[in-house]
Amino acid sequence: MKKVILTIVFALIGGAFLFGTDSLDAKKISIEEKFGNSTVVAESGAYKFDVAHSAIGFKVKHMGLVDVPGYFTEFSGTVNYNADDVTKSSVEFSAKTASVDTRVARRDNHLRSADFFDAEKFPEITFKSKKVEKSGDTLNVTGDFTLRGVTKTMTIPVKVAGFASGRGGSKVMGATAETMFDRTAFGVDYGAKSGAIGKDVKVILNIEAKK
Amino acid sequence: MNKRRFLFSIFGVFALFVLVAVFSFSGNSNASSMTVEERIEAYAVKTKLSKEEQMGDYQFDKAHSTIGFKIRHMGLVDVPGAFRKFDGVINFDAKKAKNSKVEFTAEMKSVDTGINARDNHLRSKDFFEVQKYPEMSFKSTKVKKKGKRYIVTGDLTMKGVTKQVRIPMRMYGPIKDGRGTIRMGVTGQTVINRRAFNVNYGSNLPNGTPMLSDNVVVDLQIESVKKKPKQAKK
Repeated sequence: MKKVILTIVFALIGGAFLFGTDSLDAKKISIEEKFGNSTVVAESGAYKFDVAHSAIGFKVKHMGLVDVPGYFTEFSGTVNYNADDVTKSSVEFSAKTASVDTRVARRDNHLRSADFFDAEKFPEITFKSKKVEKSGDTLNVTGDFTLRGVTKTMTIPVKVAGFASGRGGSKVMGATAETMFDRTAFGVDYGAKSGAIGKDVKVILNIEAKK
Repeated sequence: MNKRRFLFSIFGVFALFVLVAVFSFSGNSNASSMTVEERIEAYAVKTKLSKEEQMGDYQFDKAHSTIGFKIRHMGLVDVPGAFRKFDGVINFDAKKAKNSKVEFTAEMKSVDTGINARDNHLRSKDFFEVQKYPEMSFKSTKVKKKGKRYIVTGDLTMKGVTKQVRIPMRMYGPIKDGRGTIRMGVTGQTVINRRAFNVNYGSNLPNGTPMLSDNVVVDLQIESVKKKPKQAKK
């Protein structure tokens, strides 16, 4: 009898999760409808990351207390946006590991060392999309993420902030994304075991790209 | 009866699979940030200190604190920046939260947005006018505990203008680290209108969207270390 009750409880929890995600999707769609009123129309084409107005960064918890942010100052990337069928869009970018900047020079040097990025051996972090799926106002971009020579599939939920016309009519697009990964899966273990330096890395992508 | 039991266990296994699948799926999306929060909570509880141990003056740990901001560019994305040089103290009263105090200053010329040319522009008269107004400061005037949050009201001074701002903050810890140092984390976010502080630079795009938003998100990630009591001179 105990078993039977357990099974029913599990089934109910499972069901609640499934229904829960359904109602979430409904919310997303209504956001997307509002978003559709944007005055500047999306335009297909290749958009290059604007380094001055984009941020490729990360946040790591220190001693479980606060997020310590860092950014890469050297990076490049391209969005191939398909306005007719957004799922046919693609994105790729790379960041120079040696350009890491956490505003503390000594720490940046440590991050460049073999304890972390091993920047000499692995000069770049790269992402290359393979698949784009639309879910409400989110584009789930799945691709190969390479860090320290290890490549793993990663899905990044991207929100397209919109399109704007700059001075001179140049088209600009904005996109933001946040995701998280476990750095130890890429062999970046330093300080993870003691919990002093979080093993979960929050990825911050604030991308403004110009056509 | 046996058959029924067998069917139920099969169903149970199936339900478990669904659960595991749903959990691992949500682990890939934003929901994973929740598990981190929970982990921090757990961490903080495990290292609970007595009120006496928690009380006192905490100096900002510069290497692990960020006094940052974000401003929206062309209505599209937030461009982040932070001050490299700052100092601050939290006086934490574990018994009466409202007696706690926070104050900090930041050196305006230490502004860092990752782009040198832009930082120089921010230092100029168009923005911070750092030669005339070298510092920004915040000094709390009221602290109110609201559930897990602390609503900190205080005077923010920038470019010679002082305004009252409210910053909802959250506290993590205090904890005792491996070296016996007592540390706490405080995070806070608020939005200020830069024009209220005479920072007016920026034009509009052809469709009326400002190149640079009036609203600036202030993002504080403060890790601070409890000052050790000074040894009495012999």
